[in-house]
Amino acid sequence: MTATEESSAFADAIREQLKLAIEPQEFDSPEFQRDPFPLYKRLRDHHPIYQDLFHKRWVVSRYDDIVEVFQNNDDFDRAVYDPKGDYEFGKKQVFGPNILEYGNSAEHRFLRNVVADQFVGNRLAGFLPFIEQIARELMGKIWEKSADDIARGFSDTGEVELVSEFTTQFPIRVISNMLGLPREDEDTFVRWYQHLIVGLGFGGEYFAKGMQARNEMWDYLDPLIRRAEDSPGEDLISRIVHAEFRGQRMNVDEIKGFIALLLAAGGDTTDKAIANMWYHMLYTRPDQFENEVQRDPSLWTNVFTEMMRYDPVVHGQARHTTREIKIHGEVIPERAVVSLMLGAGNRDERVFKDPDTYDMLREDLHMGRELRSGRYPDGKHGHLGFGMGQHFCMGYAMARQEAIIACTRLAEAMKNPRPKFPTHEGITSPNIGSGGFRAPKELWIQFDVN
Amino acid sequence: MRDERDHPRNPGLSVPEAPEAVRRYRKPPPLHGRESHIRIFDPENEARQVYGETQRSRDGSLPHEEHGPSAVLKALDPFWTRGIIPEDEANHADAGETQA
Repeated sequence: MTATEESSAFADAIREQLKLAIEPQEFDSPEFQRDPFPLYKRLRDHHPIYQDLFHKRWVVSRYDDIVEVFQNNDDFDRAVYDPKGDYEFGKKQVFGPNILEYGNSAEHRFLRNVVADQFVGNRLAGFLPFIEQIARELMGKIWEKSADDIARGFSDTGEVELVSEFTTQFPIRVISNMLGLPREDEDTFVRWYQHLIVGLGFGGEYFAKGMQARNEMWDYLDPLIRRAEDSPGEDLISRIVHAEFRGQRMNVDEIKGFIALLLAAGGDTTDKAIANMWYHMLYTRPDQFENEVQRDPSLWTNVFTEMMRYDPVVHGQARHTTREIKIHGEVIPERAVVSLMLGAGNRDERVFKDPDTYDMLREDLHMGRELRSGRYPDGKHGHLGFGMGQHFCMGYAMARQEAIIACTRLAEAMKNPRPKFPTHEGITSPNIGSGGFRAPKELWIQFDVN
Repeated sequence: MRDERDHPRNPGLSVPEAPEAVRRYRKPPPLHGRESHIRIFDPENEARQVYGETQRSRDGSLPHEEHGPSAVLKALDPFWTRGIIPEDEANHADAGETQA
């Protein structure tokens, strides 16, 4: 090989490497926010562990690696925690002191055990008729018809913007009603949680707004918590106030922090999940909507599960290494941030066949209720949208039930639902308005008027 | 590795039940039986291939660059291209693991 040829081959090799290299700023680009999946694929294939110097983190993107980090509490902690230093709980988060700040500690297990059973099983079943009622009331409000009329499919406007008129309203009303908060103040809760979410994801004036909403909410909650202490009812605040684990209860600040977290986490994510499900039915797979879901509404559960795999609301979670860890030959220092790209793991072709196709009938995904362990009797893989292990989403069962009830009732109320516009800008994130979660900004639906 | 007994809320909560409260987390076997790529780094017996002593940081801070070096410099610097799996290898390496 001549010197010229050698030089040319070297240049070619560099060009090939450059195609595969990743600029950390790509994570902040509008292209990534619109469509993160091409970058996810480059990460999985060429950088299974990627050191992002700009954002000071290590990115994990393959399904198996994410699962293992989720299940390894010894080496990967949920919270930043310095055993030798002072840590002011609740000072840096808009929610105040809350369960997530306690990482993998015994404290986290205590707080979680106090409240977790309120959101599953018989206690959740007791709330289901109530969730149905709120769905029908909201639809009645949209179409200015009574709840009974809506249930019979009567409506007279012929179109609806689902995001602003339904999805942003529904979950927050469910959770605030479960908490026993006064119904006349529901619009205030919606404003508070929107400010909390934006304050959580962004700094500066958004954080200040979030803190202001938090303080207003805390003042508002004080008398309600005192009342629940003195004369408990059947509402969730009373149950949280009096819940005990090993003879201990949450203190007042922890109760307030938990309620703030509940309003935001229980509201915003489910809100966007419902919008995403309808988006996929109208734009991604209208064939499956018409041929499968419209004929068998029980398949809304599959729509939910495949949405949580294909493009879940939450695409990332963070952990912190507790010691030096080696992944794919790369050594991560102690107390470094590890970003788990759930959206990337869910599209891992090593696990799911044809991962970039939305298919609510796919056979390689566990379609039923999620399990914290990720181990399913049918041997299939679960989606990563709720996380896994010690910090598995506490409201997973409620979110699933709420989303399915809402979608089923909406489909009953709208005859022949179809997109108002032939094209859609798609699901996007993160932006200031969404707080970083992925969802369509708006979704116009037309339907036949009887 | 932190000791949970040091947690501000734990004195009085966990100490009386120390054997259970501080029991070590038992790592479950890998899901679906595939090979794990994650393990504890052994600094005594392994070469530190990725970041040298100068970049090592026990206080949690990592090397930080506001804008990053140019793409050409990156390509020429083995630090930036280390660990990248070539295209043809990536396409074949895990084919056998795909589940239908």
